[in-house]
Amino acid sequence: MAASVSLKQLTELSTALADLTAAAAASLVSVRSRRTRSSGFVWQDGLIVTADDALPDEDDLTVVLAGGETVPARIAGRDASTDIALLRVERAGLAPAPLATAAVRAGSLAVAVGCEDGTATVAFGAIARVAGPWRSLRGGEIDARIEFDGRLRRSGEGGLAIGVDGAAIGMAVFGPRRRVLVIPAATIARVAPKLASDGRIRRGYLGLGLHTVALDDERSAAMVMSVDASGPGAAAGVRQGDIITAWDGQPVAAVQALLRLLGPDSVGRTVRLALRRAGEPTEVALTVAEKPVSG
Amino acid sequence: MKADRDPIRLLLDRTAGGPGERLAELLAGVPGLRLVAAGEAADMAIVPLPAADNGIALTPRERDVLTLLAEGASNKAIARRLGISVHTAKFHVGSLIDKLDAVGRTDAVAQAARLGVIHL
Repeated sequence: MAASVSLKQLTELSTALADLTAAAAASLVSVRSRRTRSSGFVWQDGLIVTADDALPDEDDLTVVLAGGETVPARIAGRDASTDIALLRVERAGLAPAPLATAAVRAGSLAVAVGCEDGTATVAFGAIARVAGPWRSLRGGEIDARIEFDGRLRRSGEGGLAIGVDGAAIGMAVFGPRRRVLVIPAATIARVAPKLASDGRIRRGYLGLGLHTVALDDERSAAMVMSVDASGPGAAAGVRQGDIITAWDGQPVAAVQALLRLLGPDSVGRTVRLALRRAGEPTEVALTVAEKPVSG
Repeated sequence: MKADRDPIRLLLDRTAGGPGERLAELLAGVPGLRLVAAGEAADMAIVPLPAADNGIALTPRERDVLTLLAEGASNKAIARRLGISVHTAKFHVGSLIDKLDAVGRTDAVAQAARLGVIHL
């Protein structure tokens, strides 16, 4: 093969990466509490997106902006299921990070840019894996499974993974075995506005303790093991021992099917639950409540 | 010694479709071994491990954490419900994520629903 990489090409690549980092750094911040150090980025003026998992309980945060200015921040909303938290700072004129709209491809080069005391930190690597939508351990819907093979430092959690076109692929966070996952820009674009308006991602609540059981006809369904006496299930007349077989005519084969149906839009809706009670089919109308905030 | 030549009476959990049923087929006809059904006298028993069908061995504490994760609880909520520190809750969550990822079963809800009750 005639082609070989010249020093000039390497220098150009190096310069391009440094330029990319410098451009991104303007939108990155460090997020600090008494015990934690992580990164975040400007989502909109006055609003910072960061990794929920890296945040402490207490609302005693400061943000160090690019350039070193320290400002107090308070938590505007957090969603553990997608690992997205939103912070509000009383400071105008911040430059939002450009979020990518195009799909990223495996094998693309990327940098993960974080921030430590107002200066950029960088990990360089490739997008190691891109797959379809997935559900996090806590039931959050993430628009794509994106993994980055660079070595992210602890304080870089909550920073941005940026493609060579300068657009942010998403937020860099830690996954299993400290692998770096990217929470896609599309997920941030969906979740952050809800956190800004509501402070949380609402979840539907039935007030029922459920367990997946096999039915005698080889199907499966969700059995009611316990009933919250003040919950919507009790109000609808659901009893312990009932087996939920369908939701608005849609078969319920397992407890996780119900969890999927209890998204933000389910709150306040009245649904028809098909039940099997003592072997006989019956039906109740249940109005879904909002799951109580549990810290 | 005659006692040595008595067949070993082995009790197997032969639930249809389970590993015990397959094991019974494999062991059928093995000299010196007699498979017995539940209720008969046996010298030894092979029973499935509680979580063996998941391929994941979880500690009792991890099971508690898994159930709460499936309900969408934050680390803080898990800590409060179980009376442990947030730091400890985070540690358990991390080890659960690693274990589930290792066997490619990252759907906590599916796992938790098989093991116990989920409050929705």
